[in-house]
Amino acid sequence: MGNIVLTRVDSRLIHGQVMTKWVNQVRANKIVVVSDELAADEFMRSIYLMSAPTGVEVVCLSEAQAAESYAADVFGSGNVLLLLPSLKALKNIYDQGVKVDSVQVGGLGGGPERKVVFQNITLDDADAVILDGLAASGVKIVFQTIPEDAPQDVDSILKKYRG
Amino acid sequence: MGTMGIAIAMGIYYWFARLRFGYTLSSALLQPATIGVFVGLLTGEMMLSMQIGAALQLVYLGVTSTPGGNVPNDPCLAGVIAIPLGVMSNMSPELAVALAVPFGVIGVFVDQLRRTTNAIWVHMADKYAEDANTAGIMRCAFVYPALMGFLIRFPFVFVIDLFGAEWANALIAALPEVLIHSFEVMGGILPALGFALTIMVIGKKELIPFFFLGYFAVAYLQIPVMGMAIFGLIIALVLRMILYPDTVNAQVVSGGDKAVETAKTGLITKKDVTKSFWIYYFGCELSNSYERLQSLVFCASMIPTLKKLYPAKEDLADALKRHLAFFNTEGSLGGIIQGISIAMEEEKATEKNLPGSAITSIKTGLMGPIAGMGDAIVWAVVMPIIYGMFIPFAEQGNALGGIAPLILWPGVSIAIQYFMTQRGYKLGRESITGLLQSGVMQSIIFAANILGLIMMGALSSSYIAISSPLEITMGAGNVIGIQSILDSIAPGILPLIAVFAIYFYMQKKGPRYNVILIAIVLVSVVCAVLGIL
Repeated sequence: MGNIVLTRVDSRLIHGQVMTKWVNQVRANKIVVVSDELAADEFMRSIYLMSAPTGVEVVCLSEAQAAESYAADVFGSGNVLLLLPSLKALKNIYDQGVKVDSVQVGGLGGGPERKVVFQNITLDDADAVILDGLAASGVKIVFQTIPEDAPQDVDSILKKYRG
Repeated sequence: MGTMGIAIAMGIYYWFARLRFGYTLSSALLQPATIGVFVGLLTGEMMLSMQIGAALQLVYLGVTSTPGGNVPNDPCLAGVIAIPLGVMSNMSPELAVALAVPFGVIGVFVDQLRRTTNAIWVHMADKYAEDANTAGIMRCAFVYPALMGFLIRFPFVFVIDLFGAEWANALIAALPEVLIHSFEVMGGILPALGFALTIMVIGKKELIPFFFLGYFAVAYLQIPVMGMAIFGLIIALVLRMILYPDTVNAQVVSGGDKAVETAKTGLITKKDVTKSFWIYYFGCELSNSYERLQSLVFCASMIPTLKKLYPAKEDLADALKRHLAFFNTEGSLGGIIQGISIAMEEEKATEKNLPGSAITSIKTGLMGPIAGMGDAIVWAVVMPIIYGMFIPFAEQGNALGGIAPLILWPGVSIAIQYFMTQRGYKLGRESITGLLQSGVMQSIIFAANILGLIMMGALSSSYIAISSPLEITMGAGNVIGIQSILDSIAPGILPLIAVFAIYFYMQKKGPRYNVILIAIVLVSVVCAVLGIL
């Protein structure tokens, strides 16, 4: 049985903040990246697997595989940092049974129709609805890019988005 | 130079350094040891300037790594205020550190303001891209953020440096002796925060014994820091040889047998690639906005090559818009992504069968893993080691302590980035597989971590100053100093306790910089008043 130590939503997936800050902070030794796009891209998947530093295992799964692996034995073993590219992906696996109890939103890149809510985190209307739903199901959601910052709670972020 | 001149010069310095013109060059200008050289030249007091610079550098050594461009603390604002004020009012370095700390915190908010306003320029650039207006995009990437930066940064530093020396003098005169002593105690403890933070960033718990190796080698054997850097490098290389025997002979970035150069049309020359490399290097952080981070400069850096590849205006506009998409990575290793992008654009322009989305997805796919490695090597280890190595010079008032890293750090990182960019262009997508396949990167990170920890141990041992004046009287006139008892157990045990107390706190509660700062202030005052420290 794996032990999920952090669930992070970050459109950049693996990058400096995850590798030099969070992996050390939460003492993860396994990063499970859940992305249909990545799982389908042989070349890019091999890049992700090879970029893992010593002592940390990187696993790339599709959303369906993630749900399966979670149901079987919570991603096998180790201290798992679960990494998702979008709130939509998070909702998909949550609905398929990956019932995480807390989530950290750490980076969502900008784009048309997207509004900056905290540092480099942006939301659109669909994201806001997903956040409402997850919060209503009792998932504790915080917005935090690096451990040095104080986490922002979802209510204040949504208020900012809709304000 | 008079106070007015110094205040103007420091305001301009802060503006220019924080412009982030030149990815690592500007980050060198942000470092207190380098600011010390500048203040020394202005005031003619090189000795004291460098000593204060060194004291501040120790506190902020761990703040050098700022993944994602998030600044946990601003060593530059702390430096441009505390160093000139400290010199003008002839403060001890410890006292100047106490003065600097609040400004380091304020600087974070100033930077947030900059990155928020930078969003305006990326939106403007979106419009220019529609019309393929490359000059407009260049202005958005360089000129506008620079002008805005001046308004945000200059006035604050100017006013404080102009009037601050008087305030600081009055304040020091009014402070009771015991409070001044508590500031000195605080200045001695604060570097422990910097080292604890660096250990956190290097992060491999199982490698911490190497920190102790560096620490006690200095404490017992009095090996100088530079000597420890040499021994540390040897130890790291030998261990790499033993633990990663396969990688030692592998060429660092060879593509192995698959190293096939991608077909080239001759449209793009090595010079064009170099031009793009320099634009990316110089603008990497300059126009960085919360919304799209480095996308604006990445687009700007592609202009020399895109203009050659796409003579038709619509094609050029398409390509420009493509490179305005969200992008962020570690710039030095990130050169490889730029090289690959240029190679792919060339392929697209000549063969017409490569969709633009393929280029975007390679870029966004690679930016994360590359940043993960770049931050772990270049920023978490190379930079603190280079600055750490020269702190002893700065501490003795020698300008070399700020000048040498100003040359070495950008020099090393520019060389890496140049190599990566040319390599990426030459081999295209395969370059990245070659880079990662052999496990060479892992072995380099491993060796860098070991050297980093040994160095941090050596520096902690040399520069955290905590000792106790307490004495106990045993029997008739038999006075024993607590410090000598502690020294007989293990030399430098108090600094070591300080580093690991902070480290364990951060591991448990997160590196809450300000909470830790306040705790250090309180502990310093209480212990100074009670006469424990």
